[in-house]
Formats: sequence, C-alpha cells, structure tokens
Amino acid sequence: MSGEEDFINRLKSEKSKEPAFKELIGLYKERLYWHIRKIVINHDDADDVLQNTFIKVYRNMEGFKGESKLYSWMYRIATNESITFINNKAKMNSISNEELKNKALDSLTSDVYFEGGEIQLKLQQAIAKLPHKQQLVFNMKYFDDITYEELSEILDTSVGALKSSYHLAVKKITAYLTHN
Amino acid sequence: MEKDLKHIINKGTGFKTPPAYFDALEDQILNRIRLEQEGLKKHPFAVPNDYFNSLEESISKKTIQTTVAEPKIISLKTPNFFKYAASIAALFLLVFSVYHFQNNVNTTGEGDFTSVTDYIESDEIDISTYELQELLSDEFVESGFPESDISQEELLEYLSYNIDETAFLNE
Repeated sequence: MSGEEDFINRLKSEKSKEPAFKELIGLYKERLYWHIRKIVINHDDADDVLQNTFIKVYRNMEGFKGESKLYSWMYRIATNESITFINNKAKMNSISNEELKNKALDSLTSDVYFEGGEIQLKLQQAIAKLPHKQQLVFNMKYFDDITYEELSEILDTSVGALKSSYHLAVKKITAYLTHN
Repeated sequence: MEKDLKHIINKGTGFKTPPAYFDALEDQILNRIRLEQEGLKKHPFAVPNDYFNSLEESISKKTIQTTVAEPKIISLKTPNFFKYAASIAALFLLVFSVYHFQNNVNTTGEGDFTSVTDYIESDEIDISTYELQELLSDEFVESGFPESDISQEELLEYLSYNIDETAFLNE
C-alpha cells in the first residue's frame, strides 16, 4: 500500500478522520491558498474559497475513488470553487466576470495585502486580459511550477493543448508588458 | 520566451496574507466542520408531527382541488326542495287570484254602476254636470257608455224632467 493510499484510508476511517484531515490541511493550505488567491485576487475572498474548498474535500472524501492523485482532485475542487465564487459575486453585483476582476485589480493599489510594485500590478492586469483557461495555465505553470503532466490531470486537458496555451499566454503577457 | 518574461519580471505576484494567517487555518476549518456536524448551524424551531407529510394535501385542497371542483348537485329528493316548490306554487296562486279579482272589479257589475249613479244623485257630493263632463276624458267619451237596458223612451222621459231645455239648446 502506497503512502497516499494509506493516507486516503486514514481520511476515510471514522477513527482517524479528524487528525488525518488536519494533516491534509497542513500539507495543502498554502499551495491551494495561492492558487485561489491568484484567481479571486482579494485575500478575504481567497480565505472564503479556501475554507469552502477544504469543507467540500471533507464532505466528499467518501466518494474519492483514487482515480487521480489527491492533490490534483483538490486543485480541481479549488479551481471550481473559485470560478463559482466569481460567477456568484459578479451576478450579485450585476456585472460581468471581467468587470469584477478589473475592479479587484483596481483596488489592489490600496490593498494592505498587496505589496507588489507597478510591474506586479501590470502583470496581474495582463493576466486578467487572457482567456480564462490561459489564465489558469499561466498561473499554475509560471508561479507554481506545476508540470504539464500534473496540469493535464488537474485541468483534464492534453499536454499538447496546455503547452500551446501556455506559450500563447506568455507571448501575450510579454507583449502587454513591453507596450505598457 | 519565458526567459524574456522572467527577465522583465520576477516570479513574485505581490500578494501577501495577514500575519500568521496560515498558522490558525487548520483549527479554523476543523471548527467550522465540527459546528456543521454537531448541527449547531440548525435553527431551534420545530413543526407539529407529520406537518410536512400532510402539507401537500392541505395546499392542494386550497388550490388545485378548489379550481377544478365539480359543481355541487342538490338532490330533488331533499325535503327542502318540496317546501320551496310548495311555497312558490302558493305564491303564484295568490298573485294570480289577486290579478284576476282586480280585473273583474274593473270590468263588471251593473249593480256597481247603479250604486255610483245613486251616490251622485243623492247629492252626497257637490259636483255639477259641467264638472263631471270635464272629468271624463275624450277617450272615455269616444269609447261610449257601457251598454245598458235603458230604452229610448225612458231616456227621453228622464231628460224632459231633469234638464233645463233652454240651457240645453244653448249648449
């Protein structure tokens, strides 16, 4: 039995469920937080989505079949939760997702939890202009160094398509930063 | 290409978190899960037994069944029906009798005609022949007097005793 299989069994067992889950949060909290934060931009929103992600993982652990790696499954949940969060927030404010993201980026300059300079702000603006899938690929590959194989599992997309997406994203961002 | 980008900007996103944010995260998330499991998020209100089981039927009675309900059929055999029918028949008979009686009063009675002339002649009322003529409508005059058994001789005899010939000729 592999280490991950054993860990999953502990997560499913009534006896060891709670300590195992605490361990799981400790292992993935930062990686998932930064993944979510890059999508929703704002810290408070990222905190909400992160907690919802772990709660969803806890509730659905029984149904996890082990067909993909645990972290791939959790990344998928975190990505879906982030997208759902943005959709709901945009709907509540009666604006489009793009408008919502632009508003979040505009408020970064006064955000106490943003310490980047002008160039970091420009980079976020450039990312926001990319198609949604390219944003995800770029963020996970460029900032988190996730391999194409792992990305393929998380985003359920072929390695070839991911390479193409990433290449296009880098090209567009470089052009944006050069011209702005 | 990526090297060019990294040359422009390092990998930092510029985002940061509140101090010690990650330190308390495990306990925070586990507490939320515990709260949900212990049902503390549930409200303290209760409903009567079987409330939700009978709710569908109850609402259906007040909505769907009301709008498509068959019209109520009253049986002819009920005792009330005969009471109402008898009352209506009695009322109809009463109205018919009164109407018939009034018609008879208006059109018949030679005896009544005599009584009226006797009454006028008895000087109980102070009315002249001229005034009487004025009271009679043209329609009444044109339709003529009711037929009577008075012969022409009797009429002439009556006139010779009761009319002032000079005044009559003048008129």
